[in-house]
Amino acid sequence: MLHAPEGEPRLAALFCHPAFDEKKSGHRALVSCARRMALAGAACLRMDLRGCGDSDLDHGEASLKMWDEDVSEAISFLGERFPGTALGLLGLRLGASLAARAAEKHLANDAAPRILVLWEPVLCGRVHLEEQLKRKQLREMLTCGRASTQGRGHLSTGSAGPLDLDGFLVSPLLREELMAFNLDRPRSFRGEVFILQISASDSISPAISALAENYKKAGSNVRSEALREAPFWNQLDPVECPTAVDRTLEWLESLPLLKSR
Amino acid sequence: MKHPETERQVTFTCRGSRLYGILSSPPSDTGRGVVFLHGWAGQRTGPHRIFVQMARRLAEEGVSSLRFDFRGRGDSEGDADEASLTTMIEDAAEAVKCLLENDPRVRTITLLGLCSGGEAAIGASSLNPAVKSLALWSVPLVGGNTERTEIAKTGSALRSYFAKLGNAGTWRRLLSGRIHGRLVMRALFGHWRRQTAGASRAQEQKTLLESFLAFRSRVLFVHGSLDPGAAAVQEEYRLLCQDGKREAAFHLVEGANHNFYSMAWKRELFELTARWMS
Repeated sequence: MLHAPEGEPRLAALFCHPAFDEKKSGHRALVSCARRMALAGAACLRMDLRGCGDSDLDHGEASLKMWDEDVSEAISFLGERFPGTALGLLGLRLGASLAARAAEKHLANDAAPRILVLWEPVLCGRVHLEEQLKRKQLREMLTCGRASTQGRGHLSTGSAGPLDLDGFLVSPLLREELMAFNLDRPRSFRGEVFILQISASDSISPAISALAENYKKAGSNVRSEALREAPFWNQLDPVECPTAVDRTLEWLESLPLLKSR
Repeated sequence: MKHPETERQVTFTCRGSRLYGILSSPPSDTGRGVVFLHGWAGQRTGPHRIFVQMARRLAEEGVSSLRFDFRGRGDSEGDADEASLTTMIEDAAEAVKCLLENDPRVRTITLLGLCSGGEAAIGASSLNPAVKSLALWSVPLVGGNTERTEIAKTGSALRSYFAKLGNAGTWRRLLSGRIHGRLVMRALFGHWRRQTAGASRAQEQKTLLESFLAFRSRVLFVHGSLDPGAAAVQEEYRLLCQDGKREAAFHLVEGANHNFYSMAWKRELFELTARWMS
């Protein structure tokens, strides 16, 4: 879905959605953000990664490598569709992690993203997978009175077979990739970075601080903010999270990169 | 599963709001179509892409379909807070027209609704003569005697759930991470939440019951056996169907929960629904 502004866009932004059930609950906030950004002059592309949403393939065929390719293709599409326009990536949860990975890959050309917005990024794939497994086990215990035999041991790379995460099939490859994934390492992206921590805390966590520091060391201008809100990607009802959108728009408006157009 | 040739985005309007959906038009023509109606807090893909997968399964059998986002949900316009069963029924009626207009081969339609989407299916069942059958997944009881089903869903059922949770050590292990227990509880039981209150809900339910009783064709009821109150709901619907005016089929997916959260339950759900539809 492409949300196009009136006239020439000041920014072309790719939205990267969360994984698993978080995608459903986080969806409306991303829709709201894209619509408001379009009103503010940004062309916003929201896409479903392969194996997700309405896109091709089953979830069990998906991998992080495939999702990286999807994001790259989308970046190329935006670059061709809006030549000369500043490119940005905005992601929520694992989508933020994918955006961060993509920003590292597209560094050395004119169509490279220069703006990165990370809403509560998943910093460690293993922890993310464990959280999803815990949700599944909790649901099973409350429904059936017992958790399945697929415990944490099933996350070890030696385990064979796909993992059924409440209807989302996770292939051994995707499981292995997520277990190995970690954002806690030096960054190469040099641009404008906004990290929005969305949690029960008013203070930036050490992990987010470390991520911000890595971006600064790479030469990026970084703003980190803590937004005290319930994790809407885990809630039942669709939540638009207007404050997250407000903070993001406010930061985007402050960028000299966008003011100069 | 790749279906690039058969699926495309469509839009239609209802009360001035644009609604977005995906139309699936397979090459082979059976004249049959399905309109998917998602649940209250859902979106057109359904939980864990259940509607996407069912639509693609049906396409292999030559059945066209439309899955869309209700007003205030997914990609569709509209204020999330203004959505109601009434707006869902209106949207469903427009969706039926959209399918018929965009795939003129379709002559008969099944409304396939999940939870509140099932209620919307019932409400919209008589609004277009092309609607010939209802497939109702995890549908709550409309109107009628709700006492048994409410008892099954309220305090006593919750107490029995908590009794199953085992020892405190298990809870500590599960909840020691970043999972917010309160939010998970809402996620697990939130489908019981009532969308309207008081007198308007009573009228809404009365109207839905009338719609159900007026529907004189085929209905499929599928619930998970471990969905709270499912057996009681199906029992009530059996009683309502005893007038013999509709051909009703009932199925409980053994061990399944409200949204059929596993590959095995999904497969069973797809098989029996497709078989019933054919």
